[in-house]
Amino acid sequence: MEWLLERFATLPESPAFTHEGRNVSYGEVITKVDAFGTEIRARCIQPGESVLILGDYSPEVVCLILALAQNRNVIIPLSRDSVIELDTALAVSGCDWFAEFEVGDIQVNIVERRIPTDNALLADFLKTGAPGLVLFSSGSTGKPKGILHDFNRVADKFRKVRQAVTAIPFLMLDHFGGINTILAITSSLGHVVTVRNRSAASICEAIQNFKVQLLPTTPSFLTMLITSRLHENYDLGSLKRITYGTEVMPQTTLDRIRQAFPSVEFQQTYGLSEVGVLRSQSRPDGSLWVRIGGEGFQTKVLDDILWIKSDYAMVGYLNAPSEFDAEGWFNTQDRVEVDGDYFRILGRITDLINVGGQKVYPTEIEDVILSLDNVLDVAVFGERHPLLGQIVVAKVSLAEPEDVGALKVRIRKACMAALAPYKAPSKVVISSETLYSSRQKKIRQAPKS
Amino acid sequence: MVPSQEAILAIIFQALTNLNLERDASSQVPLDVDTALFGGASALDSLALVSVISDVEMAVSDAVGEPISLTDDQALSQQVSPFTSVRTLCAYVLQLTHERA
Repeated sequence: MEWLLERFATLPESPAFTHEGRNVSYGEVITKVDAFGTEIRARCIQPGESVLILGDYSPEVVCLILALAQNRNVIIPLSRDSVIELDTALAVSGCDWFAEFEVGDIQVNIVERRIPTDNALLADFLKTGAPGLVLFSSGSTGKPKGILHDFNRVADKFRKVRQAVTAIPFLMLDHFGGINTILAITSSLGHVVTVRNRSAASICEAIQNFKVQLLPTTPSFLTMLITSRLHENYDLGSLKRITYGTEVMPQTTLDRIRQAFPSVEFQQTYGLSEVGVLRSQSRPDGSLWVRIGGEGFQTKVLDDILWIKSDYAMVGYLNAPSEFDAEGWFNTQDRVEVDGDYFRILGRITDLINVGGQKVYPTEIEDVILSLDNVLDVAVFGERHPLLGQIVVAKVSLAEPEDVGALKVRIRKACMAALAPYKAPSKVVISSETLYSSRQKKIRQAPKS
Repeated sequence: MVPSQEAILAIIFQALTNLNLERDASSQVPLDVDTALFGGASALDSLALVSVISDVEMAVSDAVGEPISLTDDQALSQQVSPFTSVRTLCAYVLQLTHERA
């Protein structure tokens, strides 16, 4: 990690963070990392011990992470409204120390909290003497998996200096994309603008007030933004680039958002907690075709499924067998189409709905429904059905109240006009609840019955 | 509250009306108690049937104030399939709502 701090020292006056109206320069970041280092030693937090950090982005949270990495600890970042319950996380990762930030994420209370784990993978990793990073898969299908990374290896991807930008760390602290964002911005000596919450209004306000240039976000957030039209109330002229990833982007949303932000470059990102975030370039025609790869990454397609080999891959799962094959390839479970060196991501095969033996991707149906009047958003998922195995269910949130029968007729007609008949939802439910998780990803789950 | 036979018929006909709205003029399903829902004589394929059943389930559940399943083991093990015709479906829903009451 020393190279990163040395880089910070080259521009000590430059703004590193704006957090709750307070500016922190790169020089101050170095001072804070040193101060946390002193505290870590004073508390006798030993190298190799695990420290769970509970909070959201702030200069202090990031500086504590860097100081712990310097001290070669295993860092387990968790956000307060994490999709993973704290007890679930602790049961998988264990911990030695618990660092809880107060609301505002400036003051931290570090206490000793020994939750032992007898984990062979972790024990072997600790022998390397490298700092660790534990993140959790969201566990939308099954039990969350603890993913162990070598922190140095994660950071190494950012040794090459890129253009400094002002950006919002939109993805959370406990998401690989979030850690990726914070390292990408700071390693290029960019300016991190934190937000208190990820609502569309709060994000727009931060972009306007701090002339944010880069917004790394999710398709779900962009769908919400464009249907709420909140962006029209703010001056977002500073935005140069919006990146989107973590789930499949509906073409309807991309078309609308490109129209609303004609001078902004849109870039699809692609990454997985297990292999890291690949470099990507969207085809400039406004389509969802994307070139992915970059130094340290190899891709191949087997039976329409994307496989990745990565120099930045995880060490392994803490609570599941490795999913890398003998040659180090990882099955992404994402079905793709290929056109030359461009890919189009169709969706997770685990999200597939099987209607009487016919396969359906939720996103293609969501795309049709999203283009209808009065529809704010939609989540499509499969529900078990004795006659067909599974049926397609669409959970819709509406701008104005509408009779569910009339809505279903509209939806089915539109789907039948655009897609094969078996893809038209058999069931339509109007939802007043949010269709997103705290990771700003769509929740595609049948309600528990 | 237990819905009347007329109310249940109205629910089924509404589901078939919704289905007709998405079909062309030559494949309209007649709103008749003897309309076949499933099997050789039916104009509905399994996808259309499932959609109609889902509409009926939701409307009946709303009417009785609790979730009603028309495709559980009980429904599928009836001697005469509830999905034979509008009449059998109506009779089965009526039986089910009385059992619940």
